[in-house]
Amino acid sequence: MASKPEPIRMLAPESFRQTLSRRALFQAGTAAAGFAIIAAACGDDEKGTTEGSTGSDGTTATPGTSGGDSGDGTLASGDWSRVVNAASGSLAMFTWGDYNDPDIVGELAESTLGVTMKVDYYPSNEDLITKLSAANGNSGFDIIAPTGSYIPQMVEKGLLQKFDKTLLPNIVNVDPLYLGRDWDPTNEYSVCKDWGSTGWIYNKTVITKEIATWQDFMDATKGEGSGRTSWLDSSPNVVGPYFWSHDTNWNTEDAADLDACEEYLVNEIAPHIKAFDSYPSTALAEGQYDLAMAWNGDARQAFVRIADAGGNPEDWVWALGAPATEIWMDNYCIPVGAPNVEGAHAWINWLLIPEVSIKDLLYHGYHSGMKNIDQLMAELAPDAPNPEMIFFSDEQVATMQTGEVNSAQDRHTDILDKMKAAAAG
Amino acid sequence: MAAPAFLPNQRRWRGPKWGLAIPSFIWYLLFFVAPIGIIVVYSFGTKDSEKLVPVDLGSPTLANYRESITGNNLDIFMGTLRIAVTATLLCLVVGFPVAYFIAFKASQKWRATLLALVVVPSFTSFLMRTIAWRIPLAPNGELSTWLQDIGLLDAPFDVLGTRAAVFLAIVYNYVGFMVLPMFVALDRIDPALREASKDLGGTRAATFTSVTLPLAGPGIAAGVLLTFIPMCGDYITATVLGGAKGFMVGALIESQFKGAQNWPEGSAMAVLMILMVLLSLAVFALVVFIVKWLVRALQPGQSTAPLLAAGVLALVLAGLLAVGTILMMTSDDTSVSGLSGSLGIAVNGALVVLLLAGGVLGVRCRAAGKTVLIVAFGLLILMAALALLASAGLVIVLVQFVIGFVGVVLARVGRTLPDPPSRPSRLPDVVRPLLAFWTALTLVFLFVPILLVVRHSFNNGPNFAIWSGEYSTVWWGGEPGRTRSGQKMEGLFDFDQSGPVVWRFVIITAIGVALPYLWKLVRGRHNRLLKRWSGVAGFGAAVVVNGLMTDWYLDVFQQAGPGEGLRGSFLAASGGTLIAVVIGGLCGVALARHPGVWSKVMMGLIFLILVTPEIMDAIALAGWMQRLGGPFNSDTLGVPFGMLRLWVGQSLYASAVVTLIVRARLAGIDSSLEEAAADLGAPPGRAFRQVTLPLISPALIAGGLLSFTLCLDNTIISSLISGASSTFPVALISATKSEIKPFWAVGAVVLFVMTMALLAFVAKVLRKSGDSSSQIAATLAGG
Repeated sequence: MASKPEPIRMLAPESFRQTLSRRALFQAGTAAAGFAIIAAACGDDEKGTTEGSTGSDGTTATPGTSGGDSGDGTLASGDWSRVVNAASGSLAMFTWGDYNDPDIVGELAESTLGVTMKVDYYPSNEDLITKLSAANGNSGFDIIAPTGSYIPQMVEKGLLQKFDKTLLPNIVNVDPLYLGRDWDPTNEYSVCKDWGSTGWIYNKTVITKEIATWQDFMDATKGEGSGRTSWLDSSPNVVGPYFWSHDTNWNTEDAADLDACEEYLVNEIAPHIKAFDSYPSTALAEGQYDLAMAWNGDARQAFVRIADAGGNPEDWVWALGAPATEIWMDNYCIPVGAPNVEGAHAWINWLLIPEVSIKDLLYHGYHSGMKNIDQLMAELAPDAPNPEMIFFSDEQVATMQTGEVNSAQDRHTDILDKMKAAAAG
Repeated sequence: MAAPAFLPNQRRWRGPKWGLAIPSFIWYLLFFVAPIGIIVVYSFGTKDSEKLVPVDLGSPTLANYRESITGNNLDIFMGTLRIAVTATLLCLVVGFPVAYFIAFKASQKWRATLLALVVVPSFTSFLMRTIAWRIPLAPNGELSTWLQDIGLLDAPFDVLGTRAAVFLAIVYNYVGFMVLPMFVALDRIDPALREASKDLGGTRAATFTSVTLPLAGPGIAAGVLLTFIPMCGDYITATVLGGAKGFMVGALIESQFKGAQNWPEGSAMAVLMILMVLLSLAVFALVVFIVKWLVRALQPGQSTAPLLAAGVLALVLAGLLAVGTILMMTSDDTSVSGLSGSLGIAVNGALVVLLLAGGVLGVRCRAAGKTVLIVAFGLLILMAALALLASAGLVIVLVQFVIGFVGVVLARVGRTLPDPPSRPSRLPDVVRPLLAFWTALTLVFLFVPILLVVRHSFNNGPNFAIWSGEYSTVWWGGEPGRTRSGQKMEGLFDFDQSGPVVWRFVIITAIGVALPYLWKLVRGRHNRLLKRWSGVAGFGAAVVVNGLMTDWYLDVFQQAGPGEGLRGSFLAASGGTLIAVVIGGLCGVALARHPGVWSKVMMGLIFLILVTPEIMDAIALAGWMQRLGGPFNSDTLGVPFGMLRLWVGQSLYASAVVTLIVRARLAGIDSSLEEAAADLGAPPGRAFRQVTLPLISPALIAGGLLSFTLCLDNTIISSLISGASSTFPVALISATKSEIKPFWAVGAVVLFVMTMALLAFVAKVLRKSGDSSSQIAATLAGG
């Protein structure tokens, strides 16, 4: 869907958006309810392979979970597969920062699946690929989460192993829209983890001029936000704003376009940038930036963290990139040489259970690709804060472009390095 | 050293002189020369992203080198050099008074303590300490708020992400490495020399310039080497606080290897970086050489011709430096700030050389002139540092020029002044309290972040850097809590489950410790063997019972990341240190006792290991270990391959350090004891065990300790080769991609306490073997 994004349904009713207050973020009650949901999803079953409750005979949703549960475990949003496979030992995951609910990679995985988890983080797909290549099938990781466009390259280098589909029965819960994408048409190697987009978050008490487009964003970087702005530490993302605001194909391989982009970003923008930070939410809470380019989930985390740090979330504004922006999809994959293949399947399959998936979603703040997700949300987490930062309208999705890994990749990296040099000057 | 005829010694060491260095040679060939060699070869290749190792060697080219120093890349090289030179200067300015105070002005009672206080911060997780600076500097932090409340600031702090923060981080991390060798050098100065200077009527200033400073020279040089070289390759420290301003060559190289997958260019850059370090050191050595030569030439009774020659040489050098730098920078028309910055370097360089010439004039002149010159020197160094710090424009440079000029003129004037009548000074000593104050200030500077780490391990909030205002043990393992927004807070330790493990450990160790006393109760007398070894054996048994390599840690720790990191760090550092001590110790003995042509090769190799940027080692080793396969690719004999890789990777730098320390120690002791042993018929093995080993044991212990801490802090190599066997800094750097939870501070505190316990143990052993505190420091610093 490189050039023509497919339409996606409106994912959150407007009325229910307006009733939400940011202060109600993750209230203890909500979190407790989420916990109960998952306990319910996993049922009273002992660890072991169990047939999922796809009908009324299975697990019961606990009273107290708000939403439209019908009392006998069947969600109105549809029939769900809830198979939980047994696993043992430990699982090592290598993923993006802040990308899973701490319970889901901790206590719950242990109590539900019987695996102990360890998570390491990488800041970019390139870092992931370097580490895996350097280890050549011996990285020791069981689960990774690369972005779709990098998957063909990883398959070609022999870094990924094929799924045993019989161990992933819950894949039927994934919206077909997010299966069979270009990079892996039969989902042999990957299954959707979540997808998201890029925009910015800024402190409106400092940046007084509204930022509505990427051009505004770049002007603010040079203007009111000079020396107080962070950009993502990811090369396709730093060239994005220039091309999106100049109505040029983001994936352009044209040397003249790339030269112009480099000229502008390195000389005009870079000297004003304070940091290249892929996860600005923490530094935002510490008050280090007034403006930050951010992925939507991390920006959503920023609101939580600003509140936790005693700041006022009302001062901050999030906006999705415009007139165009990116769409990316990250995928769970199992690297070649994973020590605990069975455990990896079990965990990924567990994450495809709607209750688990939504609990995780509520933490990381990205659309997790479940079927009927709007109804699912309404049933399981009607109070989820800032849904507009998770789910996007048709009109917004229509402006999103998919990144490609092509011959421009080197130029992108080069431009980012030059920007860093100029910012350091 | 011929053996007496009546005791024909058949069993004296007859192997090659380098026999004891064989393990080192094999180790370095296998894990340094071969992998790095491959990387150097890569630097002539072209990029081929299709391959797993993305290098095509089909058509060798020099293009990578050209590419590496064009445009912005050159700026980064120059910028790194500028940051490293300035930070080294700053470390010198901050550290010298401290070393001087401890060596000469502090009372004997306080010396050991003060020295320990300077060293101790270096023995904790550098990453955590550096991150801790974010606490006082955070724009939303308490300090910032408080300063605003009392009206000292009208806007939040904005220090993080600036050049000042870069220097703060670097100076903070390296100043200890500057103080230590300077202290050792100062401490070795015979007090009689300084007394003699005073008795002969020399003022304090004269004693300082004519006696102390020249004798401290080697220490200053060692300090500069120990700080400057690692600074050039370190790119993590600077970015932790400096954000985009901390972008250095190391990061550029890393991005070529990781981001662009452009290994050839990354290799070329790494080679150039090594050359840059070597070239800088050559310039440094040249300056030292010239100064020495001038001082010698200016002894009384010499003709003035050398002086003239020196003046001319200094001017020519200054001119060359200035012209060269300007030419280099003007070719890059886009970088105006780079231009003024490097102009700054050029003029500064010129000034330093000019002042050196002026200083030489001062060496011959009378006391007053010297004092003036010292003041001018001090001001100049300060101004140079300030100018570089701000990379500021020509104004500051001009000011420096004026000050430097005035300094030289005053020095000349001072020469003509008559000496004041010689009488003992009756003035109160103002220097001592000033130095004491400075030392105290430096110690506060060193300890503030550590105290903050401790406090924030008790933070009742989700973010390490933001103090919630309440103390809580939640992150240690107390009752789990929730944040204001409902995030869960759960501690590092699992107190419920860790009970049995801890009890097992304590009880078995206690039995071991108590056994000798029981023995005495029953038998009425001590058993020496039991008394000496029982405690150790109990400890060992406790470790074994709890399972050195098994999963006990899963019970103890609730947070897998830092928990496994702590365990991994200790295992990896222990193995790396053991290797380093064994091969480094043997090699050090061989270097000191059997030098030859081979020792030059070995020293060259060790020097290369010390100056190679870590990221290059990391990439080289990762690929190479993959190629070696075997135990490096699959767990063998119960050793996880990731751990084996860590042992090898961390042992390289550490063994080089141990070698240098052991060699220095033995070089200070003449070989008569060992010869006597040989002459009396001791076979080589026995002579080594009974004579050499005890002689070098303090050096081995000190070297081991230093290795241990180096291994604990090793981040760049470890992160790339370790596989899933994580270590504390590797896990922590990965955690900085997200919110840093306070349980990391708990982990850092645990690490700190354990390292301190180790340090105390070692200090006790050294004390027992009869070394004074300054000797301990001397061995630690490689003297």
